[in-house]
Amino acid sequence: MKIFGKKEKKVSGPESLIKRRLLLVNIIIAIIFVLLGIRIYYLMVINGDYYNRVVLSQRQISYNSQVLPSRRGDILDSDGNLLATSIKVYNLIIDPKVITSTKDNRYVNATIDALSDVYDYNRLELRNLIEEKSDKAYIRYARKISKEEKEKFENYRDKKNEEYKKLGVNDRINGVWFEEEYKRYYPNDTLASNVIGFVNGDGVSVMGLEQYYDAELSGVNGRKYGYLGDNYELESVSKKAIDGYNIVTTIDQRMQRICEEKINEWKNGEIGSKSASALIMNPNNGEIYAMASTNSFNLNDPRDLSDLDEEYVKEVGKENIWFSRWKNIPVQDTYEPGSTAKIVTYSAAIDENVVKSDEEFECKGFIELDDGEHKWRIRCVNRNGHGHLSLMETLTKSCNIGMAEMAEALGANTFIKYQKTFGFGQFTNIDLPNEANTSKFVHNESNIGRTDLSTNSFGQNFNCTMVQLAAAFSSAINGGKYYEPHLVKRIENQNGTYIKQIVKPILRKTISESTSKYLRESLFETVETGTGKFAQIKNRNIGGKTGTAEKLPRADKNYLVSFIGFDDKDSPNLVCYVVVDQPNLEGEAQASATFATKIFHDIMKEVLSENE
Amino acid sequence: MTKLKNKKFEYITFTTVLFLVFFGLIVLYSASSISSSRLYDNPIYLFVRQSFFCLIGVLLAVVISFIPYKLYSKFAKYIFIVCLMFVVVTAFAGRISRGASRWMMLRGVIFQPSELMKLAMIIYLSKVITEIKGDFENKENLFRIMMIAYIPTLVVALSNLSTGIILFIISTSMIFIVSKKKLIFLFIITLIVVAYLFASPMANLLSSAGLLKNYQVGRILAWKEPENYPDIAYQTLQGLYAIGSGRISGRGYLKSIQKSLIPEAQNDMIFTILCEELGMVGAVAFLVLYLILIYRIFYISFRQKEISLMLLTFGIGVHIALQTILNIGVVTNLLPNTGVTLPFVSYGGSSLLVMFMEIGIVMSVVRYERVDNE
Repeated sequence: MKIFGKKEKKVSGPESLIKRRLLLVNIIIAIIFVLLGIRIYYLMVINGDYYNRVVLSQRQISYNSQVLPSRRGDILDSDGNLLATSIKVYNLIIDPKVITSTKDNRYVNATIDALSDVYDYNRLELRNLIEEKSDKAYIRYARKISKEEKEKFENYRDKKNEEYKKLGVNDRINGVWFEEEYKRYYPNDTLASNVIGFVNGDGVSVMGLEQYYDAELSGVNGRKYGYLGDNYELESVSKKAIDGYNIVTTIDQRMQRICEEKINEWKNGEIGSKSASALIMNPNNGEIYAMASTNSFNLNDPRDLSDLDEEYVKEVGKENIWFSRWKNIPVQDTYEPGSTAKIVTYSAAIDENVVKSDEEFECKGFIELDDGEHKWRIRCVNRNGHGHLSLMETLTKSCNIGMAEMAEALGANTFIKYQKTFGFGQFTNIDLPNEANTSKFVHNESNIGRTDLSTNSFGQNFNCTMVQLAAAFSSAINGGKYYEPHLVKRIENQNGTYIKQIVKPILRKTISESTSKYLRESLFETVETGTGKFAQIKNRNIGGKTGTAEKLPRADKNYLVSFIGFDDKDSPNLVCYVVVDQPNLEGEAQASATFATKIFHDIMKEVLSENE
Repeated sequence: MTKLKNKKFEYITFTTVLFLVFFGLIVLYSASSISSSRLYDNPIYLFVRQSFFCLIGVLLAVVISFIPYKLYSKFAKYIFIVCLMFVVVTAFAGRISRGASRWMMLRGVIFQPSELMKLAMIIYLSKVITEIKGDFENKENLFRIMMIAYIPTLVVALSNLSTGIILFIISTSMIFIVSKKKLIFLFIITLIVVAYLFASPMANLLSSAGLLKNYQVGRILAWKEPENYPDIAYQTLQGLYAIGSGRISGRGYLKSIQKSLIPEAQNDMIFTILCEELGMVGAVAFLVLYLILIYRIFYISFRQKEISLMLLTFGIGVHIALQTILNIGVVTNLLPNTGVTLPFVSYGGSSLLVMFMEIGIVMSVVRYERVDNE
């Protein structure tokens, strides 16, 4: 067969080998094109609807809406130090659908190994989870992992996958990702815990400022989602998260620390008591600088009861222990104030001019009351009687009889009017949740009997909270201006720009300027010469009043002792109130206000020493 | 027997190419918009560049069509040697720099010498085969042909397997049409068909024998079952989704969803976007254009009286057909994933310009065709 023709470079004819071969190649190419056509027909017409569904569902997966977490605002002390803050953490998400997506299971072992190598997770548990939930794409396996821990995994994964690649192994770590979240963190653990309150793992605020200012602190979560735009182009839109506001409190960390230290020293000391609480406030504007009680807890782990005996926990019940620990005693607990409340009777009598400064009192140790049928006695602190007393001495020596007489002189209606003016029986509206309602624990004009009037006059037979008494006391010594006690002075956004300045105006007048001045003198004398001697601080004109109250039921002979005082008789700037609930002593031995007075002394001494 | 110059302008080839280029640019405008925006912040950047290359290419083809082929076929050997040098240099330079071994910088323009190698080999091989008068019995001749046909193939295949395969098939088919041998070609074709049909079991066998690395086996398995290897076969899979979701009439021009998921959709994967937007109708229209072009060139080849010109145009026809088949074969997952551009449509300067040069040569062959006047 000839391939080349006569002239050797010419094709010899249409039937030559070269032409047949050329045709053969053409036919092969044609066949291949037909195959391509069939393949395209198969893909586009027969399977087209399937692929179209895949495309649409894929779009939904990759552009699924996603929450952009907002950051909860910080809680700051009055100097701008952090009391509560939010730090970014990560949730570890396992996607079993992806992990089990290949036939050769190339992701399963590598991913399980990686998770257990980095985080020490149980391999078997992971394997079971991935196998059981292989159709799920989202399992939140671990919560609130720190940034460092997250990066540790990511670095491990990248390094390991690179190694696998180099080794030519199919295994890959895949199907694990991290979701952003914020975690609440309290840098001082227990400090002011009962005031600050905390946020649960699920973001619900519990107790304290966290709860009261929840609306201001919480932001609004954003969202990211994709949609198909005009040109069928995928577009992703995100609605930014709006961060919450910061709140700047009036809390003075130093004073708060001193208060906590001193009451805990007492509680853990020789005698100790069921509980002890202290608060410091500015009488001239109602700002609370410190509010402490011995039932504090770690805000970063509020449910930790590991310090307690298991048997005890079982017996009392976790919830009960939690709530008693989380409780903010100065706001939530009510009690009979005892003699500290005598300032109400005393200043009311002076303000109403029912007693004169040179008036004299005679205390036989009791007074006798009668309603025409019965006669009964009300006893004084001093069973033997104080004897001859000046007006001021009725307070400095804490004479019940003097007070009862003054209340008699005022009359029930006027007395109750003053009680109300000083805020007893009403909410102080302090910016904390769960303030105790004392309206049922005081008398009114229609139900107050003569005994009630007498006992009320020296602080018995009605209940109040520590905050109520401290606010009342503040107004009594500051010239008669009643300020709403409060803990937050400013709300700002997270850049520090003011959103709202909180200034509490004078709510009402309680007593006159001159009465207030006379009261300060009398309270100063109480500390100088009277029942409050233990409160004396060198070079300071401390004034204050002791209080002892027998708790209900009286038969138990349990007492609550207290002291409330201020730093300077001429211009008071600090009011400090200490309450010791049920000292660990038997019966009447508890009834010594000295315990509270000494704590007051220790607190004020330290607070003032650095204020100089 | 007198020789007359045909002086014909090869309208059919030229017009078909213009159609392909024009519609190709329309598709590229849509397919490249995402990459352009991402890389250059300008959604028409790649489109404008490609339009410029096309314009140059068309002018190049027209200019070449007016130059008698004989004028430069004398230098076929030197063109071949220079190209081979470039290929060798880039292959080794590429080895050293690890990576971009297919490219080289020439006067600041990145050029892919292996593309030009295809044309140089077609030209030189057609010349040499004619010179030895198809006598492969002579050992010296056989050795010479083998050297020319397979040395560049081997060098290129080291750094770029797919171009190596293209070179191999072009040269083998050129030898095939003039060789009297049958068995060797039957053997090669059988080998290819068997390898194609039994790829996965063979891959497993070779890997257990230690001849293939795991990742190579993985590639072959991913080709056979892409849905089970979503990370390796990501591009293939997304391409298949794009093609399939076009269905009969397509999603509509500019409405591709997949182009945001397919990386570099304007390059090797452009056919998938074409299918998604224009559907089966558009895909078939393009296939018809390619068939017209390829068979027109084969027809021109078929009617040549001179063996060298026949081989030359045949080689060019095979080259264009092969690129088309390989590209569409890859995107429809009939073939494993290799980087082959779609002639006149995919983005890229080197391959486009070489293709235009080939069209120019075909047109020149027609223009200076000898017509027997009997």
